[in-house]
Amino acid sequence: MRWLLRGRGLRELGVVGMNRRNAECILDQNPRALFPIVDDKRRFAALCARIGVPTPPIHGVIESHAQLRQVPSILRELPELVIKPNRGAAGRGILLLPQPEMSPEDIHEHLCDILAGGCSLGGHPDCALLQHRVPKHPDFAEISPLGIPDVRILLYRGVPAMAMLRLPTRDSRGRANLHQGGLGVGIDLETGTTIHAIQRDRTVLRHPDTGTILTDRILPEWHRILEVASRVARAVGLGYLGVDVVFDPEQGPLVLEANARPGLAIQLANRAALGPRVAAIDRQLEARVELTRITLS
Amino acid sequence: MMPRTRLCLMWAGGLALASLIVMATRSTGEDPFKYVSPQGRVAAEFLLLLPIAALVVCVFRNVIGLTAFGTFTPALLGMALYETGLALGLGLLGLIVIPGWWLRQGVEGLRLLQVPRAALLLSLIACLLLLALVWADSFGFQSTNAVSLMPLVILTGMVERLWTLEEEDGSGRAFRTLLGTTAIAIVIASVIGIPGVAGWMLAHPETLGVVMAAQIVLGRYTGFRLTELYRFRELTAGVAPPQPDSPFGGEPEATVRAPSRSAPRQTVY
Repeated sequence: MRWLLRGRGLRELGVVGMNRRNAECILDQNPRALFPIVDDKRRFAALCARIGVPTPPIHGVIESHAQLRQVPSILRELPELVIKPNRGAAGRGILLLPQPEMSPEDIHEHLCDILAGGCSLGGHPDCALLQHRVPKHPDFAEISPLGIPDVRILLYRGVPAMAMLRLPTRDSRGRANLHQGGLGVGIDLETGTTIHAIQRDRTVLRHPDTGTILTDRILPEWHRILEVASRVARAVGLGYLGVDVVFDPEQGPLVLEANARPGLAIQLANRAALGPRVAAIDRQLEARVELTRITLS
Repeated sequence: MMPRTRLCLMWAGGLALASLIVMATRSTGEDPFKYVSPQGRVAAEFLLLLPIAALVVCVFRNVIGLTAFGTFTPALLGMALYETGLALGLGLLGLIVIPGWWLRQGVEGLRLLQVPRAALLLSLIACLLLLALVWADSFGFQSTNAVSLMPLVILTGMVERLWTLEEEDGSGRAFRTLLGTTAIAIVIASVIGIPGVAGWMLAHPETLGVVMAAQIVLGRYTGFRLTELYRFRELTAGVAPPQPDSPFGGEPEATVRAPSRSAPRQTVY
């Protein structure tokens, strides 16, 4: 029960809680009008294309029941695809193809569900995306045997503030979402080395399914990932943004999606507080403005 | 950040002060609802107590950090429990939500579209309430009121959310949320059930100004929630491995270290 007395310690460390995130990060930094840019995956992919940031290509968009007739021919041509709702939330409605035990009728039904809005934010009618399925990357075969890992970069005012690798587990049923039991592995921003790992907000040292040690691994193309994430954050214009990056063995890092309400478990995954980093970025950006002013005068 | 917080505190102070002034200057013997019909008084009581229920929800969500279905589901549920009485209301709730959740699982197999599915679920829950009505009546129980007071739409929403949450995040989380919702509703029913609260609100409706002031203050509370002290407990647990410097070329800012006891306490607001 000693945790009850730790409020002051947490405050001194600068740990950001939900209330502070909502008030000072989301309400103050993220204008509501910009949310659709990241909530709408198609719009977000178009934005990335405009600024030259690679994303997994979208091979088809199903907007109406009439277009469902095209699906079998697309699947014959490209059997390895991901079906996902355009405005989905928390990994709902994502289907990896091919699925040996699913008949074409099952896939048709799944697409109908997505069109009806059964998988989307607020249950509004949606369209379904047929997206390139990122194959497994050999560098991650050992650390993430169950499904595709992704890197979440948390950016404050366009500057990377924290990062973690998210690994799906058996417990999370193959999804990388942390609250569903995925692993969060903190990453040192400077070197791209993993430093700490958590599952369901508690420290773990090894992968619960395989026993592999999770720390002291260096991620490929780290600085490129940071650069790409910053470029996305500046183009989107949200001051508190999570950018999710996946590793394609052929195409390198691809930006999968962005999140306007990124969670706080990333602090636990890094064993670090967000507050001092946010303050450092604020100071650094203010110093830059000051420098410009002096140079101009 | 500071000016906005100060602005909020000013508004809250002004509202509270204004309502206190009204309270002090108004002639005390006068009933503000004296021309309102008896049914109208019931409605007025509901309208006066609902903001208090909403304030309790704010405290639970933002200060304690309990999860619940929706924002005002606990508030409306608490109002219903207040009207029916705790024991009867909770019995009725269990009698509806658990079978309703079981029926929701059955409905899933039919793969209905969202709106018709919600309509079907609503009808099924209406059937359950009808059964409860007939069953209670056969025992000579005065329950007709209680059944009509259980908010049907809220219950349908609860069943739907319970099912979705279980599907997505597992049964543990779903039933914890159900428990949280019920706990908040019980506290609301107890708070507004304190003898004299309803009477006070009917005699002094200007108290709503104070309630709103409290809501504004809570709206800028940026401190930790009680449950977060538990969630983040590993961050203060002492032995934290030192972390390399921040990437911004500044001083080693972002290192987790043991809290120094001498540091000045920061204000929460």
